[in-house]
Amino acid sequence: MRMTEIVSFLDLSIYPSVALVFFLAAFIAVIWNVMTKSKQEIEAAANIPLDDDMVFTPRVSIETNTETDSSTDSTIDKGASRA
Amino acid sequence: MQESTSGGAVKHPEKDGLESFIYDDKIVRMFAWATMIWGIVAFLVGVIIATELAFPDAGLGISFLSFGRLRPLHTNAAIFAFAGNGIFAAIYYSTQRLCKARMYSDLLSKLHFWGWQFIILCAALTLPFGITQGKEYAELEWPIDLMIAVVWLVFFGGNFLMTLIHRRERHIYVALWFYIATIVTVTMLHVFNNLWVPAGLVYLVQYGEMPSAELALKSYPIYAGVQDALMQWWYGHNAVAFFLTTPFLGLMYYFLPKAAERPVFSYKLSIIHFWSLVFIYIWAGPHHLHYTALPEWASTVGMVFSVMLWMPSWGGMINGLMTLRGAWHRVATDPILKFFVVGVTFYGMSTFEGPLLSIKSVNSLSHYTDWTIAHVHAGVLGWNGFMTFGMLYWMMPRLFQTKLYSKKLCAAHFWFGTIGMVLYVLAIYAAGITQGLMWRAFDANGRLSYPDFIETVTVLIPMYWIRVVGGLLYLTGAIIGLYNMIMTWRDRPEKYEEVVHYAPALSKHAPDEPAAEVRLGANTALGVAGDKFLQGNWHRALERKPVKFTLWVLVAVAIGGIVEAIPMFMVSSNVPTISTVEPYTPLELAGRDIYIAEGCYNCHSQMIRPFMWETMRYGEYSKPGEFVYDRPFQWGSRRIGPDLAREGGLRTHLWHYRHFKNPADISENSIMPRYPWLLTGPVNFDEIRGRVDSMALLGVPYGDLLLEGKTVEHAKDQALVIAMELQDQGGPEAMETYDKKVIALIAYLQRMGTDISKTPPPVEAEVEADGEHEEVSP
Repeated sequence: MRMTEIVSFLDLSIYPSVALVFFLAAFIAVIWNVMTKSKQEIEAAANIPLDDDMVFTPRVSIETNTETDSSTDSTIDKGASRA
Repeated sequence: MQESTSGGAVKHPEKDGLESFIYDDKIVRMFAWATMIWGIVAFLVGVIIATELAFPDAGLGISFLSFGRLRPLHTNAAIFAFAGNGIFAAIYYSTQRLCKARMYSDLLSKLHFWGWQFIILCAALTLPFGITQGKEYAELEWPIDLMIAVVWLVFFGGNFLMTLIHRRERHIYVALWFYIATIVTVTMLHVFNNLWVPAGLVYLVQYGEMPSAELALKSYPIYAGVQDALMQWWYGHNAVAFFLTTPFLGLMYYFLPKAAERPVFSYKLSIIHFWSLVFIYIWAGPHHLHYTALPEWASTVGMVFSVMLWMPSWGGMINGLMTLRGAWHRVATDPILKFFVVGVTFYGMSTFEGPLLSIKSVNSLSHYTDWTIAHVHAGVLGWNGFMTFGMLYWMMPRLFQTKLYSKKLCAAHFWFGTIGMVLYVLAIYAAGITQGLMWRAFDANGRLSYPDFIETVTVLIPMYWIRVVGGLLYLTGAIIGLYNMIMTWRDRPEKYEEVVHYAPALSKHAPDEPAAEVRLGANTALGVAGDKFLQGNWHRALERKPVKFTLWVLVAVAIGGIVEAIPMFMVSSNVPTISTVEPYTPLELAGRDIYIAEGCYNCHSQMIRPFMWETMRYGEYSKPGEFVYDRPFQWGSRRIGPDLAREGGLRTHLWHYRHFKNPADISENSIMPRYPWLLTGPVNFDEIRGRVDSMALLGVPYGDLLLEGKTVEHAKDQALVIAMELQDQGGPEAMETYDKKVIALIAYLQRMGTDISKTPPPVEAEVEADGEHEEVSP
């Protein structure tokens, strides 16, 4: 028996319902997951974009002194080494 | 080592444990320039083709300026060149910062940039010359398809995923989830919708030479008719979803909080938004095929999921707008926020309208009209365009490390764009609804109120002119934007400052995350496992494991595709065979390829829906079995001109000949362009062999025609017969016309939709035909 014949026996009218069940299961899992997250965790995640640096304003918090600048040059990740 | 706990690198007292890195902003600048420049090209071509609809002679009778050939250039430029480069700029800027890492490989970044620009150049050099696959938004021919696959998946996808793997921020921020979904799904869509047999290669293998560049680039899809339609609109709809929606949502979740200087309104909502959107979107494609020959169940699944899609979409819109809580006063003075607010608002309007249009009864009115065109322009100009411009303006001072040249010009761009967009969209809504209502209007005697199609076109011309004005305004805005960008760039420092950043490398495990507690000591092992599962560490782990996360996104998007596609390809009853439907003759096939090359599908559908107003106007409604030899299907999505599904035999050859020469000679107010080049351009009879052989390879029963010399002989014979008939009808000399493109195209047009009215062969003949030998109708 060919695959085409087997699939032809299926009653496709239940397909929209099957799809709905799939979605509901996924949706409930996501809602559950979101609801069980701690407030702290969510806030930390939400703040990630605000935490990165401005391009031309070096971070005050990082102690960039001239001495280390030259020493770190060799380890600066410019991507080129991997390329 | 201390780990990042508050969503960023912790200030480390010692530098020993820290890694240093510099963000690659050069690549972002390159993509930003490309966005602006290609955007102007896309809008300019849009204005040209809009003018051609209002004033058809604007094409000057030049082949590469005709509407059918330029419209794919416009759509491809807007989607893949403008929006494409826009999302790459957004992704390269935000990914590095969200990951606290430079892009994994500068070489891959550059290959991605130049590869993508080369693809756009190839599109601009092929589409106006009629080199097209004939499927909307998937027009680019097979060699370009291969380049797209490599550039997108290997250069872009590979670079992105490796950056995620080497990131220094534990949590993968939600914008990156949207980027992951984009990369995974677009790859899947692109690959499955672009499976073809290249006709030129078939010819090369068979006959040891390549007859023409045109054939070398030609391909036929492995799917035919209904299946091709389902695959194409699964692709087409999800190109909107995963090229024009998810990456822009990622953009929104990064750049809107940046511009508003506050975190997103609800991060929890963004997670729900993401998974719901990704899961639901992929199912919605069949809503583009309501009341067509697509099986009803597929159409219903598409509709139900489209309506469901409204919820996550609005969840996202609300999340975006509410991010401005407490900052609304700044919208009045900050043009960047203005761009974002209008952009997100247009997202809300488009994603309300999309589900509305997917409801079958609404769709029966809107489909094939300008309503759809208005809908997509609200989406692309409003949502994609304004989010892109908002992002570019926000980035300009940061990328060029100087002040924005002019805030006033930025505001001027905003107003030109907004007014242009509103003019465009309102006029075209009105045009769409007007035409839809006119098509279905009956008079008191039960006859069509507007039986002449042209009546439903001329009434739209004033609205088409308003569209031209709207488009010009939007284009003007973009030109102002480019000027502002150039002037900002001119004020850049002599050498860009490259700030060194420091962050700790990520440890393999996440010591800062508590393991799931064993809270049910006395319970069964299963209970303990279940309790641990409910504590949600699995998703937390998923959120920091890019490869696993990517695989789960793939699962989420693949389910919809598989559930819809497998039955469609497997169930024989979905496409009932019609015994009288036979393959196209070699000449008709060549004519069909001319139909595709000229982009006729951009204005003419080949699908009569089972409505009284359609069957009265065009004839018997279309059946799935009629399209089994259509590679690609040519159902179309817009009727700027009438449906052609039953065109065969309706008019004389001479009518068609004169109509191609100058449509206005036949139908005074026609907005169809002239096609003088079809009357003079020769048909390459020899290469028809490659076309027929490719079809045969795909299982089309051509029988004896495949024998040495038969294909060309058959094509020439049929061309002569048609040319003679044309001469008899008062046309030019047969010997002058028989080898011209127009004859092949007339052969195809005269065949269209006629098979079902033929008398079925007697039963014995059918049994015979089951064998190897099958007749082909002349």
